[in-house]
Amino acid sequence: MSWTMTRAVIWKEWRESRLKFLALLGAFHLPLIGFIRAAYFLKQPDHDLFAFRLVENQHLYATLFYQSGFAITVGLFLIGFFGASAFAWDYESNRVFFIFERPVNRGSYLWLKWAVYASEAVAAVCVSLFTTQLIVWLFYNADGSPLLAIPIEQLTAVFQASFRGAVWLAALGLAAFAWSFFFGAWFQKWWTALVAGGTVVGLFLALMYFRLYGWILLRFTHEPPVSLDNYAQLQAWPLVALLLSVVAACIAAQWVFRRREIW
Amino acid sequence: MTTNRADPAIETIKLSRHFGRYKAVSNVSLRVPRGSVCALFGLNGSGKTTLIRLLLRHLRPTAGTIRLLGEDLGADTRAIRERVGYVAESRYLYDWMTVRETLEFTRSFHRQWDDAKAQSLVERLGLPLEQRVARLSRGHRARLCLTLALAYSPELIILDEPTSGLDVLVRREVLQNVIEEISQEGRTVLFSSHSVDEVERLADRVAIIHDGCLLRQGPIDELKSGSQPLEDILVALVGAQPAELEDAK
Repeated sequence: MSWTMTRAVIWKEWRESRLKFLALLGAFHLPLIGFIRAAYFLKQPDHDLFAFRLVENQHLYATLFYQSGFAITVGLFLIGFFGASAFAWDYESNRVFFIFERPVNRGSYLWLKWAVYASEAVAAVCVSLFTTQLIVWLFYNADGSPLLAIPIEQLTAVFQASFRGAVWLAALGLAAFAWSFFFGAWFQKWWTALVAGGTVVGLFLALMYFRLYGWILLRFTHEPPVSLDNYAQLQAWPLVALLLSVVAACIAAQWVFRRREIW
Repeated sequence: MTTNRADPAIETIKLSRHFGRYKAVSNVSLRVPRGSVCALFGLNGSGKTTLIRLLLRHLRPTAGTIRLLGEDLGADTRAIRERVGYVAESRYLYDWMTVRETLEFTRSFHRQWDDAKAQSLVERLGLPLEQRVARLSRGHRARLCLTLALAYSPELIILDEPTSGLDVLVRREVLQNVIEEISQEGRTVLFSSHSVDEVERLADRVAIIHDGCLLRQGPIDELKSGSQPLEDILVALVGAQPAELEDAK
């Protein structure tokens, strides 16, 4: 596929997915409602019980813990729905014919579409890990109260740990995305793909949730004594296994899309 | 694979496509010479669209072979797509694009795209460049599809029910003007229709399909060898009631 074609396909995919991407990014920030609400309560003078714990200043650690927990549960479903809907525009009223009628290799088209949507899915899950902490940090530091202020060193330390978390979330997000994208390529009706994608993510979580929890969160305590080093320690085999499943899903998507018949 | 100008533009040999036990296309051996305007005539549900989708490799044949412009149609149809223009009955377009964006998007895929030709078609067909496709009338959608199919000067143009849903004026504009111009340039046109009037007015050849089978094909003049009107001949061949053909008009 020439550079001109590549650019055209990327442009089309971005234009079709940008609102969905923004919605996904917004959805990954939903835990902020809880974080900000908690912070708001803590700022009330009559919440002395909570105020005791303010001394420890563990709010950023709690944000990291719960945001990661959200991402490996609800977040995977969100990505699953995002991936499953990737072909909704193309398959609606058979618009995919518009591409099929062009001198374009179907496989290349699928790769480009995959790349655009996968980048968006990974960006949403990873970026939200950092932005939620940044927003929480800004909220606690906004009114300049020395009791509530979180030192910048703590934000830096949590950000550093978050890079490990981002690797895990990227691998998990890609796996959830790749399999739901495969269903999106397979089923012509977007809602069938959505149900299939959601079911696969549900099954994955049913079988693997405690392992996921163990890999990412189990050894990380966000209450004193905080063990930031134990958060999301990188382990080779689960990450490699996840990436291999991504490759398998991509090959499967290529296979069904190349053989796709629409009438 | 070398191509020869003497090769027909379209040649299918015993082409079949079955959906389970339903034979949508059965043993069709169609031959359309280069430079001709061939009408694929049949009633609704006769297999015209399935045959066209087989020709374009949107569907895989159950049996049989297809040659377009002298080339065997294998799994990879990229090269042949540069030489074939297609306008589908449903006029697949991205509603969120403007007409200009649609033209620019399509242009990216065709090396043979001719900007001057596209511009002249846009002007001639009165396409509103900044309008979103979703807001185009059916007539304008048809004109846009034609522009997209013609701007890269394909050797073979396949039109699936090109006038369906269009009013009389647009029909004339789309078919009479454009098809005549294409055929004058020596290119081949295959259009499907269930309208006897259209077939008689525009085509020099006709292939009659009914229940997935090709009943007759050849020059219209040969088919009308007597003084019998074409409509009567078609009625006799497809076994349709004259009222069905009247509806189709």
